[in-house]
Amino acid sequence: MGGTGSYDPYRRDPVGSPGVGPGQPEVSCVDLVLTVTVQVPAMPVDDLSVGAVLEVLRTNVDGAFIVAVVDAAGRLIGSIIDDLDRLLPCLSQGVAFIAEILTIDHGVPRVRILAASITRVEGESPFAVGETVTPTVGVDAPLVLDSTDSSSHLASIVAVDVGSGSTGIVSHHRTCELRALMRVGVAFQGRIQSADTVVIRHIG
Amino acid sequence: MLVVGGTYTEHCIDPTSHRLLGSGLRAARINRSCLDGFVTSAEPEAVDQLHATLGVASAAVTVVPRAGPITFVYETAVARPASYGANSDRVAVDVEADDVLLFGMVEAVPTARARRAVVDPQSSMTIDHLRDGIVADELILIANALEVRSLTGETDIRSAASAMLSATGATTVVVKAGVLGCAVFTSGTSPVIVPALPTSAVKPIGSGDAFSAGFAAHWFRHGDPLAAAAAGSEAAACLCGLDRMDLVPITPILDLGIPTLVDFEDGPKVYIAASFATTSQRWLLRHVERKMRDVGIAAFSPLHENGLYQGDAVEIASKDLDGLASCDAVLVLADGARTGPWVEAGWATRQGIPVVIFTEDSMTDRYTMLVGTGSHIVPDLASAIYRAGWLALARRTHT
Repeated sequence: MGGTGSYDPYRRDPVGSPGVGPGQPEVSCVDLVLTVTVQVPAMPVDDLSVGAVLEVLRTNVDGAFIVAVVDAAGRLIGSIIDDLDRLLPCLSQGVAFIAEILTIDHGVPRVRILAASITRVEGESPFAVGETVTPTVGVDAPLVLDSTDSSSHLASIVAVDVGSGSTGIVSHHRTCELRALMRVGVAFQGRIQSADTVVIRHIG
Repeated sequence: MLVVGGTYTEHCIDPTSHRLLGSGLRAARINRSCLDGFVTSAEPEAVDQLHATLGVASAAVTVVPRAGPITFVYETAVARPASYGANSDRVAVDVEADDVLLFGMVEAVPTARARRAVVDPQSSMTIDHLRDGIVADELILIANALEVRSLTGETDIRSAASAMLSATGATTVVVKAGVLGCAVFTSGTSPVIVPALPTSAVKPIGSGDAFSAGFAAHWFRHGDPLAAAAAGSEAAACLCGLDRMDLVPITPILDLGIPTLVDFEDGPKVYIAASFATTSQRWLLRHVERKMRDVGIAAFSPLHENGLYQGDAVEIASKDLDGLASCDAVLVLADGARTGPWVEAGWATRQGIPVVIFTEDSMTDRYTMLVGTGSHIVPDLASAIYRAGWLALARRTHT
């Protein structure tokens, strides 16, 4: 069974197919939604929770470029191997993606991947009220993947630093989404609203 | 270890999954911590994906270019795949290394010279290829029961394995048989059965590749084929049960006991309790029946054994219940079922025959009586088939 032509799973009538196409339309990168399993290392991060939002990025782990999933603290949660023929081109085009955890089964998260889109986020900040700050993202360093030592999964990716003195880190469950957008060049500006709250808005 | 094998797109329609893997890439990924090299074939456009999937930079990756993609499309996770692009140009793959894990490829007949080789011929290599194309001081062949029979023309497993040993010069032949596990045949000794590790969920695509990967890694390190077969089972269970390619310990959900070679010839018998009033119901019944045969289960399909109801209700009911009484477990295809399957489920429960209910209906409270009487409610087709097979095997081996 099968065909001599190539198979395009995103067409209703694949070339040479017996008519078993899934009927999925081709979608643009910003509309792409994928439900996939995260390939976790032998010693996975064990404090993940359903509903958490993670960052999806192309990065270097032990010298290999993978599509990694990292949490707000920059820890490597695992990698994505599903639907890379759609995800990789979109990442290369500079589209930022996040992954929402749908389920966790025996330490293995199943996530929904979609384009990051937030324009405003609130976070905690120690800065003085009224100060205007510019969020930045630290430069990626190679992640270390050692399946025998879970502490080594900590990535050298900093969260969103605010302020010229680089003394604050925004702590919020949407940090990953903000960081993903900033990583691809989307501009944000923050303003300290109260003693412990910074509001960061898209300024594009 | 050097892994040689195919890199193919695997697309499953229901449940949806889409990955660039294939036997070679899957095994290389599973064994990436001990991978020295990976030799495969792929179209240039897929090389980036290949590296992102493999996720290891320390191994030498050799990609022999081919003209276009090769895709395996699975209508469901338990369907035999349709292949696309497989008739494109052939490529040459020839390797030399100390330890080689080699898979049959769609677009090549790979050859190897090695000190030790584990070869999983898939359905694309012949006995002649294995004898002439693989030169190794020690050779172990791994194939499933269908492939072993097809390669040798023998119908019983023992004769088929024996024929493979003598025709290829292999020291060991491992025959995989789905829910049963595998049988390890070594020249001059009695075969040993290594049971499968049952998991609650089963995603069977690539399970055989994972077995071969786990087997090879263990055998190259420790040299014991029986312990390697157990490691292969663990790798398969990790992939199928957890969708994990990094190996972790697996706790089986059932004690299967130890199957015998008799079970390989005459698998645990599962009664498929289904309505067959509509095309979709009959299609599903055929689909399940075929998969059961592929994974070592002797399926009893009342439609195929006893035929359609022709007006004699007493006769058809009697025949169906006689068939049910001869089975070790029941799989109920519940969604849209009429009364027959429910009568059969209740009857089986009363007889102490395990019952598995396959339903995609999220309102499981409608199965209260069945759950309360010990039935297993399983929401996906592959897991339901394997669960029924394992329950049947456990009932058989423990009685």
